[in-house]
Amino acid sequence: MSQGTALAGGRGEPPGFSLEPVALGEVDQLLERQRRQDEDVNGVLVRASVSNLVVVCHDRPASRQALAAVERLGQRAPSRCVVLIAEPPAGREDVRTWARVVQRQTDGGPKVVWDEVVVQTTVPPRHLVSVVLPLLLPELPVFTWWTGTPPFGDEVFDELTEVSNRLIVDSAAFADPPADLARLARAAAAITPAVSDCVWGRLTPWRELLAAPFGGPPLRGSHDRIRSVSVDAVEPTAGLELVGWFASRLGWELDEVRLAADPASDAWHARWTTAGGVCDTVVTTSLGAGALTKAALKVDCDDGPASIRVEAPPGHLVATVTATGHEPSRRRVGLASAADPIGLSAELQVFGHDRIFEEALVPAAALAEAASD
Amino acid sequence: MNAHDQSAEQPLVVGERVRATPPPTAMVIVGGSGDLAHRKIVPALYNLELHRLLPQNFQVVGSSRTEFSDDEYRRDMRKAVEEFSRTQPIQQQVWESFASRLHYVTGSSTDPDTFARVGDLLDHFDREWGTDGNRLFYLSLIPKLFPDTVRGIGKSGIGGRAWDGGWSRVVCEKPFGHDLASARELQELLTKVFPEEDVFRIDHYLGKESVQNIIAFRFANGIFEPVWNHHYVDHVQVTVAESIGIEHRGNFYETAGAIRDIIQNHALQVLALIAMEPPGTFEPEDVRNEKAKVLKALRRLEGEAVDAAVVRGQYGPGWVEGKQVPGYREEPDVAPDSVVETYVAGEFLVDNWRWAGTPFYLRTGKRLPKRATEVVVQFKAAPHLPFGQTAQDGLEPNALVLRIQPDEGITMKVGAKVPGPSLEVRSVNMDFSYGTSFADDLPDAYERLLLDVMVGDPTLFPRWDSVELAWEAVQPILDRWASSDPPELPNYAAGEWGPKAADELIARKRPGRRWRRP
Repeated sequence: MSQGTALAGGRGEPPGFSLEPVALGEVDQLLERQRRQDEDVNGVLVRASVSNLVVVCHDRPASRQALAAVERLGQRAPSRCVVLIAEPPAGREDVRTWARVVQRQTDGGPKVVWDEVVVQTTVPPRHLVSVVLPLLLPELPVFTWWTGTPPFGDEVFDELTEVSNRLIVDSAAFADPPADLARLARAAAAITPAVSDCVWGRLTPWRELLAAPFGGPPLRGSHDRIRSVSVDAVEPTAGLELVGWFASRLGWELDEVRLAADPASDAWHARWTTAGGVCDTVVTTSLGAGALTKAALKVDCDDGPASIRVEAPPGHLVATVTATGHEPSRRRVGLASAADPIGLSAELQVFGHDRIFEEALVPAAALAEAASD
Repeated sequence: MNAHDQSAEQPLVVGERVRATPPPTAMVIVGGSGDLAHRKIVPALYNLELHRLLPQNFQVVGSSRTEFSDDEYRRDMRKAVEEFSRTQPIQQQVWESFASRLHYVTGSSTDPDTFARVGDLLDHFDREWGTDGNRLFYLSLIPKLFPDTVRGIGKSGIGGRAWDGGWSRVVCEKPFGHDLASARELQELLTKVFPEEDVFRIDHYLGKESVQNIIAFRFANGIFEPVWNHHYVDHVQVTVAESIGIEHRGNFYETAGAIRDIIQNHALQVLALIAMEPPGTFEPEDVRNEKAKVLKALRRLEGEAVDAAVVRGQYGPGWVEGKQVPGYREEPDVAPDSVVETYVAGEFLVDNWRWAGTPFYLRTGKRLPKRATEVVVQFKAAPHLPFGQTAQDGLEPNALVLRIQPDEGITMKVGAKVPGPSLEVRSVNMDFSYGTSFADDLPDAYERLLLDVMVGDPTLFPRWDSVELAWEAVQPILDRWASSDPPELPNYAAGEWGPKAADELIARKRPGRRWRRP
C-alpha cells in the first residue's frame, strides 16, 4: 500500500518507497503490481499522466526537498516523476532505483494517482541520459527541473536538456544568483528546449498588479513615461527579471549601470533611455519572504505625477495607485497557492517557449553582467 | 474593445502569464439582493478578484427593493460569499478590498428615481474611480420585471443606445421568454434599448469547463471527425438528470416545466455543440453561426408527431439517495392536480447532410436516481463479428460518453478480449477523468461568463437567432400539449429513471436502443 506510508528504510531509502531497490528495467512492472494491489483495496485506479517530470538533484537532502515539493504538486499537476540523484562518479558505476504509486484524494475531488521513481546513481554524467530514457512515459512532454545551479555548458547539462521539452530552474537557489542568471540567459539562447525560472512565475501577480493600472484612467497610455522603478527584492534575480520585463516590453535601452556604494549591500542602479525620456531603476535586496517585498513606479501622467506601489504583507499583495486629482486607489489580492510555494505547477502548464520571459531575461542578464564587470 | 485590442494598447499585458484583465467597468446588479446575486454573481466576482482577474478600475452597485446601506449590503454579501464561494476560507484582506468596491442603491427596478440614483453613482465612479463610462447591467430578476427595467435603463439614459460615454452591455438570465411569442416581444424590447451585440444571454451551462471541452474534444482531435456523422453514429443521447426536486421553486416551476427549464436552452445548446460543423475560426460569430445552422436544421414536430416523438412525465412520491421524498404535486406552491412536466424525453432529427436519419435523444428530469449530465455518441455496430455468438455476448457497439457533470471526463466503450484460452470479447470502458489530469480548481461558469461580458466576447452566449430557433423547435410541442390530454400523471416514482414510455420512445425505431444508465 502506498498512500504516503513512510517506510523507514534502515539503509536510507527514500521515505514511502519499497525497502528493496528495483532494477531499472523492472520499474514499470513493479508500479503495475503496486497499482493492482492497491486496486484490490481501493477499486480501479486511473493513473494521471500528463507529463514526465525529471528532477535532477546533486545529493540526497536535495532529493528529499524535491520529493516533498512534488508531493505537494502532485495533486495539481500529476506526472510520472523521476528524481535523479546524480552523485560523483565512483569506482563502480552504480544505479539504485526505487518506485512507488502515489494516491491522493483532493477534498471532495477525484482520487489522483501518479508514479514516483527515485534513481541514485554514480554513472558518469555523459551517460545519465541512458538512465532517464527508459523511465519516461512515451510521447508525453518531458519537463526537467534542475534543482540548485545547473552545470551550464557541461556535457551532462547538454545531454539532459537535449531530451527535455522544458528546462525549469529556480534562480533563487542559484549559488551566485546574478552571475548564474547571466549564464542562464546564455544557455536559453543556445539550447533547443524552452527555459523557465520559477522566480519568474512567482513574479506573475506582481507584474499583473503593476500592469493593471495602465489599462484605465488616469494612467492609460502613460507607460512610456515611467520615470523610475524601485524594487526591493528578497530574491535578487526576481528584481533583475522585473526590471528586465519593463525594459523588454517597453523597448528601453540600457545607458548606465552602477552598483551600490556600499559593497556589503547588493543594489543595482541603472539608467535607461525610453520612448518618453529616461527611467532610473534600482534593485535592492532585503530579507523577507516571497520574491519581492516592494515594487514602486513613478509615472508622469497627463494630469501630473502618479505612482504605483505594490507591497507584500503576509499572505497577499496590496497595490496602491496615487495620481494627481484622483482618490488613492488601493487593492488587495491573493497570492499563489500555499500548496505550491515554489510555483512549479505553473511551469508545468506552459508548453512552448515563454517568449516574454526569454526576452526579459536578456536585459536582466545585461544588468547583472554590467554590474559585475 | 476586446482583450486582444487591450493587449495591443498595453505592451505590459501580453504573453502567457500576465492575463489581460477586462477594461475599466462599473457593474450594476439589478436585483442585487436576490438569490442569484448571493449564490452566484457576487461569489464569482470575489473569486475573480482573488485571482487578480478584475480590472483595477472596477465598481459594483447592487440595486433592489430591500433596504440596505452600503455597509449592510457588504455584510450580507460577505455571508453569501462565505457560504457559496468555491474557494474557502475567505481571505479577509482580499474581501475587504473587494467589499470597498461594493455599493448599494435601494429602490424598485420599475421606479425611474432608482435609475436616477444609480446613474449618479455611476457618474461618480467614472469621475473618481476611472470606470471610463463602461457599464454592465446584470438583470438578476424574475422575467416579468424585465420589460420595465430595460425601459427604465433606456429612458434614464444611463445605459443602452442613449449612453455614449463608454460601452454599455446587458446580461439576461434564462428563461429568455416564456414561449416563442414572449421571447420575440422581449427581444424587440431589449433591442430597442440595447443593440444585439450588447445583449448577453446567459446560459450558464455554456460557461462550464466541461461543456467547453466538447468543443476542444471535437476540434482538437482529428480521429473523431471522420466518424462523426450518420455513416458511423447510430444515435446521440443528451441526458440532463437531477436528483433534486424543485427546491422551493414551485411558483416558478408551475409556469415553466422541464421543457422550458432545460430542453429549450441547455439541452439544445449542447446538441448544437455536438452536431455543428467545424467553424473556420473561434471568432464569436463563426462559432455562433455554426450552432445556429444546427438549430435551423432541427426538424419541427407538428401535431400527432409530437405524441410519437416526445414523452412527458411527472414524479410521484419515492426514494432518492436513501431519502423518502414527496411527489411533485405534494411540493409547496404546486397545484394538487398539476400537469406540469418534471421529465421530458424527445427524439430530435437534424436534417442536414451530416446527420440525416441519426436521431438525437434528449432527456431531462427531476428526482431521477442521480445527478448527471452527459452526452453519449452511440456508434453503429461493427459490420461483421467473426467471434461466434457466445463469444461475443458481452460485446456492445462502441460508445463515446462525454461526461459533463459531476465527474467530468470521457469514457470510450471498446471491445476487448477476455483473458483466457478462448477468444471471448466483451465491452470495457476506457476512462479519462478530467479531474485526475487537470486537478487545478475549475473556475465557476459565472466567473468565466462575467469576464467574457466585460471583455466583450459573446462566443459562449446564445445569439438571438439561436434562442429563437430553439423556441421554434419547442413551441409546437408546447402547443400540442396545451391542446391535448396529458398522460396519467404522475407516471414515474421519484428515484426512477423516468416513465416507461421513455424507454419505448428510444427503442421505437430500432429495437435494442436503450438509454445509457449514467
